[in-house]
Amino acid sequence: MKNSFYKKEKLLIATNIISVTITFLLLGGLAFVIAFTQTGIRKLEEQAQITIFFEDAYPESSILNLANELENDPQVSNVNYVSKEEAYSIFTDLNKDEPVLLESITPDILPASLEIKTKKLADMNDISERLSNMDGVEEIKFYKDVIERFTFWTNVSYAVGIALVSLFLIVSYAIILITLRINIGYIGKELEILKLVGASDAYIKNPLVKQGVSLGLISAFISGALLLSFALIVQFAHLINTNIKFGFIPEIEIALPIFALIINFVLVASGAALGYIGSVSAIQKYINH
Amino acid sequence: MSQIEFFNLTKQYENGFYAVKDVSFAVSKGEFVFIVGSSGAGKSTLVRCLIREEEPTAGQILFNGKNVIEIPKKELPELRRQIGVVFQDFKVLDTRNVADNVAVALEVVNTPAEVKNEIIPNVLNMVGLQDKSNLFPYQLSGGEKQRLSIARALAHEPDVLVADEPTGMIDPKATWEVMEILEKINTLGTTILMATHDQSIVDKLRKRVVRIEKGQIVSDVEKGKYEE
Repeated sequence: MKNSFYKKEKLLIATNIISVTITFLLLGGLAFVIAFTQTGIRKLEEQAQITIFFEDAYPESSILNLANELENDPQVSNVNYVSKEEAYSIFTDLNKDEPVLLESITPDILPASLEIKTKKLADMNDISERLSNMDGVEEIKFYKDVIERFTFWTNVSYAVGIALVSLFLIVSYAIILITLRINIGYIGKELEILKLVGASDAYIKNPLVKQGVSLGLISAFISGALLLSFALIVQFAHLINTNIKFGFIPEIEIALPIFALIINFVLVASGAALGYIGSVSAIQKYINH
Repeated sequence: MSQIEFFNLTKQYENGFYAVKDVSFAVSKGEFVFIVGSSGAGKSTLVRCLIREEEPTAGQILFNGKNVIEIPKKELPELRRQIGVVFQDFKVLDTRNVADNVAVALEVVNTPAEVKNEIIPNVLNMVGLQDKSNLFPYQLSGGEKQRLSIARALAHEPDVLVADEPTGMIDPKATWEVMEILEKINTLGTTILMATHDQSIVDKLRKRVVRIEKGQIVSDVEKGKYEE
């Protein structure tokens, strides 16, 4: 096929590539924002803990049995037993500059405790309620209000993130579709003549599909390259000294440039898919007509 | 055996209007047939149904024994290569020169360059445009554009050439040049089906005349005149 048959306005092409690139940049940028938010959430989740204080009479063996049970709990990530002696040691260490205070405290006055970390913040409430009715439990401490508020906003950020990602995908699809429709209108007479002289549907369709896929791919490559550059700058300038973590996939931890490469790949795949679907639907309507 | 046969062809639009109704006639190989009638009589609808640019509501069109209406969509390009079409508004590509306008018809079937280089001068010679192969359509007169359109239609060496008001937009001198070319093509064995309401042409050439009025055939005369 002669490309000259599908001559297009250079300015129109440039405008379309810029539009789709900006949309993909926003899409990729949004993925970074979600990733950074997730990393923050994971940090908090790793630090947040429930502390269970036990009554003095409650035997240490029962506390250790409970600790064993909790270690096998799927919601729990870590359990740490702090004996009365260890609690006293920590207390004296923390207050070593206040001898008056230390004189009033004896080793047996501080309670033994279990420090429990959960895999998800949202599980803290559940575990806290489960353990609060147990024999020997004197008090359970965790920042319930803060955790609940944080969990709420985390869920909101997921929902908003998914909605925005979907919106940007729809916008990208619409831009590609409109671009190709404009182009089909521009070369409509040529397409009509091609049909009249016996061109197959594929002969008419293929150049436009190639054009749509190219538009998606070029835009995805440009936006992907910009996002990767951003990630490398952040990494090498030590602006963020942590790997990317996700609350919804606790086991996964990846370096920022690797995350940028994954986003790059996703954008390129999305660009090709959107370009293909957009161009096929744009030309199919014309061919059916 | 007839080359083209229309059997009770009917095209009714959604608003109830019949463009053609129960039209039946046959065209033999090598014939030259005028389809005449006033504007809106249904001449162009017949042409468009023959190349499946329009889907009839009822009836059959047999072309070389095959029902055109039942041809699967993917096989329509093959049909359109066997039936060359010439339109009133030329339908030439303004961005391509004369030779490239003819080449378009050959490129859609991936014709090798050496074959194209043989066919293009031949068809341009047939329509008298051999010296204008590098000119663009804006440099041609109306008659020359129509001759270019005929040259493109001939590129596939079609069995039938269908012309829908080919002289409607050109002056009398150019009209006769186009008619001479169509007659020459016909003498070489190509069937010509020409829709027109130009009385002078029909009366002078005395070919078969099929008259359509309000979507129905009202007369079919061998060596006829426009008003017969």
